[in-house]
Amino acid sequence: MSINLVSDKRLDNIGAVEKFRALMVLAGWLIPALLTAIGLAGAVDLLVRGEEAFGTTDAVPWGILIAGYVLLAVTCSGLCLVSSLGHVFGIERFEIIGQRAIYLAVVVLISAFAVLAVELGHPFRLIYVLLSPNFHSGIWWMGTIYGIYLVGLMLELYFMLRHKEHPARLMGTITFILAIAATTNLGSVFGFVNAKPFWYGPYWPVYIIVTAIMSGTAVLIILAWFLQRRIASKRQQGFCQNGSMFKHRLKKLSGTLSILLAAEVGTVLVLTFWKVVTSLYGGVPGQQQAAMALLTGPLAPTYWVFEVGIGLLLPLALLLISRGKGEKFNLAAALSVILGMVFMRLHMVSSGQILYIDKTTGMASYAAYIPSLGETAVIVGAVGFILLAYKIGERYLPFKP
Amino acid sequence: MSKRYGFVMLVYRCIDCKACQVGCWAENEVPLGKSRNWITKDGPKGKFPDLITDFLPGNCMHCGNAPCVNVCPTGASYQTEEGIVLVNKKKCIGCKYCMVACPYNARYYHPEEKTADKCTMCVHRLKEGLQPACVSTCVGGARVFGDLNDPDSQVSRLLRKHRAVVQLPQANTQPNVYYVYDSPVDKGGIAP
Ligand code: SF4
Ligand code: SF4
Repeated sequence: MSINLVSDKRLDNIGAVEKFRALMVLAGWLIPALLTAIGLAGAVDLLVRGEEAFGTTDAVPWGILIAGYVLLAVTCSGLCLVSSLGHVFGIERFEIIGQRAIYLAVVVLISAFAVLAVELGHPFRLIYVLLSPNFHSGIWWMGTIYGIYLVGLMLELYFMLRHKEHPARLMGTITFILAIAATTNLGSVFGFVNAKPFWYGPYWPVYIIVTAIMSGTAVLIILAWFLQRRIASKRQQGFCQNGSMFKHRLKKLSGTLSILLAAEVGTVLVLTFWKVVTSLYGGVPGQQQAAMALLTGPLAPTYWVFEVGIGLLLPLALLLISRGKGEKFNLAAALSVILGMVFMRLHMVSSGQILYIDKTTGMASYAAYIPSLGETAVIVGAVGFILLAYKIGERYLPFKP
Repeated sequence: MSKRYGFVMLVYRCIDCKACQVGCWAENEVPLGKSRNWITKDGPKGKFPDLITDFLPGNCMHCGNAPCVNVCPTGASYQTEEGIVLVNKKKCIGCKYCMVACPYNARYYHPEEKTADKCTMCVHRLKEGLQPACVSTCVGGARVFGDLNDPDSQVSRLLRKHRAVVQLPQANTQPNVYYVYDSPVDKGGIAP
């Protein structure tokens, strides 16, 4: 990768501020690269050592890599759905961010598939998903639709970058539909499992699409923030003529997004509340124990602090204070939604599997799952890869503005 | 009519010696720390001092309506005509959906093959006219195996004579493993 820094000679002549800026630019590349390297090391460990390197067990077959896959795949759908308000539905305010949002969606989905490939352990056998499909399987539908969706997103991005408006809008419409189909099918993977009472039913397909839009909105707020700073610094360097107009538009967009985010966080709060209450008092065997695992059991600390506190209540408070205007508040809310979302996905995957009936004693207990070092590294690496790929795109792709 | 293989577990005959488990480990080279079959303790039940603990030999229920087969994305998990639920290791992508979907936790992850793995009813032995290894090694004669569609098979005769139950009937999996609790000896009869 070529890191195009200011040449050495000029570096001597410019002041400490410039040096600091150059250092920041370097760090902006190095940190994502380092995180990606950590992820690769984790992936190699998991692939070479196999099961023993995983934190998952036969009692808890799905762990943080499945949660991470869900988080990324669903965020990709969210990015596509929210940004399509601009380039598909023609709401002008959103158009400014469309190209980058779709590029980011592609990158995020690729990282999701990479995480899944590590979880599966032997990516080549994936060919049997095509050669020998089982149409009864939720995973088959989910995987196939997400696969087609990725191709669709790439085409959409291509047309957008080439400014071919009509095909871009057509592809945008198609990916809009595919995003909904893929995401709800991913929810159905959980909803189909009769053996796990906390998962069974239509709740998760609904929940997952609402949370998709929520995470997509949050990522776009963060993106709008970075773009403003980028434009500001470009303007300082004299590269950007229409800078102040773009800045103004981004600011307005961020305000609109934050109002959307407030509504979404509120909706998810309501869904979360009723899921727990119906599980507690609905009398369905197994659901109550799973809900108790979240409220007071082994998942409680992270549930209350991260999922409910940082993921929902804090951003809601911040957004209500800012009412769309305080940009720092919006950014803080978006970041805390994303952090909460990591745990939300982990809880979604763990809570269904937490109740374990021991085969020899017949006793029900909570099954423990602690992510291994390798598994955690892969998630870190996915984040690094997304940052790195985004920076590369920002540098080499003809994004407008 | 084609065959439909199944087990009848005579609970009153099981003494929890785990010979079936050891037999299966040896026959099928089950990876260390994993098991295709198990003995569940049911009890102690009753009123002191008349306490009783039942032992329930178990393995994959070879469900007639198998969730593991339904959820498998590649059809790697499938059911033979004789009702045996098997995993085609070549097609298995190791997604573990079947493990999550099995209400009996009958499956495990094979660490070397990186696939789902489970009881095969010793299909390789059946082809040679032998009984599954767990049945052959069962000391108490608690595990009975045979063709449920053949009215003259031992399993069919047992099911006609005794009240049998399946595990987790509410899961609607239609298991092909039946459990008989009441000993005919208790009722003054002779054990089959
Ligand atoms: S017991 Fe489990 S593994 Fe066996 S057939 Fe039924 S669902 Fe499948
Ligand atoms: S782990 Fe293998 S057998 Fe089980 S559902 Fe996935 S592909 Fe099918």
